[in-house]
Amino acid sequence: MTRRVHPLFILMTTLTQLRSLVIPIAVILFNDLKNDGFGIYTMIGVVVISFLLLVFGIISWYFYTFTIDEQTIRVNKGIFRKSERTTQRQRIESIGINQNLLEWILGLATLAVETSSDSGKPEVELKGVRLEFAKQLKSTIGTAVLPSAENAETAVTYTVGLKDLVTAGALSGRLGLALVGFGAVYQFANRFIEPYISRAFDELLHLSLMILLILGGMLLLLIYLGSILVFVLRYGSFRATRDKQRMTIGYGLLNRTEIVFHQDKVQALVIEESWIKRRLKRAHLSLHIISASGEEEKLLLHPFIRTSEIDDFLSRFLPRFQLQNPQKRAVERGFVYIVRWPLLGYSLGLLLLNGAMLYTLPEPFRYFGLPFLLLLPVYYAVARSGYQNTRYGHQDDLFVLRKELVNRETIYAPRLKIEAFSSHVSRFLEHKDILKFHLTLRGSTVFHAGYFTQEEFEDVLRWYQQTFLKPPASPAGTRLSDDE
Amino acid sequence: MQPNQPTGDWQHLPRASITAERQYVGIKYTIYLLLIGTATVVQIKWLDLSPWWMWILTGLWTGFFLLQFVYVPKMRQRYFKYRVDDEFLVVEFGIFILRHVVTPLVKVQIIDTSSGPLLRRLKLMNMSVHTASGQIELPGLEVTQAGILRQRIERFAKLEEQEEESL
Repeated sequence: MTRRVHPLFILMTTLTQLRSLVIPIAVILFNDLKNDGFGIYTMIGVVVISFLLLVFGIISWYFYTFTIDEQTIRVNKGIFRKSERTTQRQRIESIGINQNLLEWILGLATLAVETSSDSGKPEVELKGVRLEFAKQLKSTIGTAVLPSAENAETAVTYTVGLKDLVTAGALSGRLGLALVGFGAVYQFANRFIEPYISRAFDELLHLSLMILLILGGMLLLLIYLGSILVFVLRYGSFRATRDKQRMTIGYGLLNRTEIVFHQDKVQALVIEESWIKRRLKRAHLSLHIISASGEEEKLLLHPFIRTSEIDDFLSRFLPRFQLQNPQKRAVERGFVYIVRWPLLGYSLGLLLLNGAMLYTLPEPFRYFGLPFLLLLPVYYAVARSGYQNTRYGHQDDLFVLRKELVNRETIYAPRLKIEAFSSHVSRFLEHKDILKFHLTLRGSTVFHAGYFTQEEFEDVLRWYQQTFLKPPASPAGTRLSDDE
Repeated sequence: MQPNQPTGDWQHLPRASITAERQYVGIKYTIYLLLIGTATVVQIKWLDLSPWWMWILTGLWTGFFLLQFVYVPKMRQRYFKYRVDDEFLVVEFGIFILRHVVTPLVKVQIIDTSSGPLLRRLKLMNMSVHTASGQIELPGLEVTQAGILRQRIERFAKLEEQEEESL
């Protein structure tokens, strides 16, 4: 069947184009308002641009068609530059439904079909279809590609509660990102609010040091709470369902994302335990499911699971991955080489920061950075004990690589999913018989940890270099053994 | 499944690959020299500008040239080696960082060979083996050496991988 997407696509395209022009339009309107009110030419300009965008939306919708048959999915689009994307249904690795804020308001969705290509974006993307229709399409395509339960096995589902999400958001270390975001917004808004800010600064200068510190603390707290809110909005109503080999993961309060994939397509399971999460006996689970680089590559499986529950959780939702305790430790003599560059970087950063503070800040503030230098020996001590947990191991078809200094990251990768296994070492350390393991998966994903010995590397290679080929099928008429 | 033991001998790059790389670097730097030299003559003669740091840049540039022309090709030829162990391509390379990479041949998606006029004159070619996770460069192989390697990889690329059975 060849058909067009929903007519609301026209409105969505027009509004999306308008949104991309919102900053120049806002600047023009603001300047106009500051001078002598809205000019007639400005109004005409805005109307003409909106009309042109609407016409562009109508034509885009007219030429935007899709065809789904038994073998392929094809999407045609483009007004002057025609594009046709076709993908074989049997190559599909995952199917997702995404909704941005605008689509959510209009009740539309984007169906993203991912294959194993390393292009970095979905192979086929169908924008502007009704959410219900997208779900129907996903199940039509998915049934053929991602086999559903033939036997009446009950699907298992889990959700993540709001309390866990809030705690995970609070411990996700996104304060830095939130600060950068705040800085960017301030930079943009500065030109409009500069006089008010200068006045506020003048008034603040008369306040006592304690009040200034409290105000600064409150601002930081506000940004921190904002970062938690963003986390909750992004991963809210988290729900994952396993139906035999088929997994569906959906999350997002505003921009709803839903991804369906076959369990065989999981490239690796990653268990992250930050220093604080380890104290709380909690972990963050994520999956690498497709080859493409970007956000889709790493999919959240559980943001805040109890470490004691991981084993049971995996046996129910990802039976291929079993929790293991890798036994082979990183060699003692490698620690100095692992820690030297981060330590040097942190030391230089702190020295530069202190230098800048000493020269630029007034008397009471200039020494505030010095206590942070005391964190360096603390980092060294924590990393020293953490390094002893850097380990590897392999059992049956699963390779486990654990890296730890302050935070701990454990990777579980099935042997057949490892695209390349390699060792890296500088020529200087080569003579010390130590090297790092590098494990490459589809796309640009590389996990590495070290240092291990050459002998251990050869041990892993003996495990890795077993056949990757499918065993030949028995010729027709061959008598099956009793077991079969 | 039996573990795959080393079955092939290490193959090294031919001596001619050093000559090929030196010729390439020589031509590249000659073009740079002509462009930068012309700009410098104009700068000194007509614009009357000869800043002190210009001589530091010239020294650094000459140093890079000597490194790339004299040492790097020799070291690359010395350190680069590869072998095929039944189902796996094993490559060892790296001048400052030693890398030992093992890739299953069934994972290979594209084998890309190329040879410019310099390489063709010396009967050499570059080979690039692409997988879904990236590529492995095998520079300056002999044409016959590259042909044999390509045939071996092609044979496995047509076979069926265990993992694809679920599709």
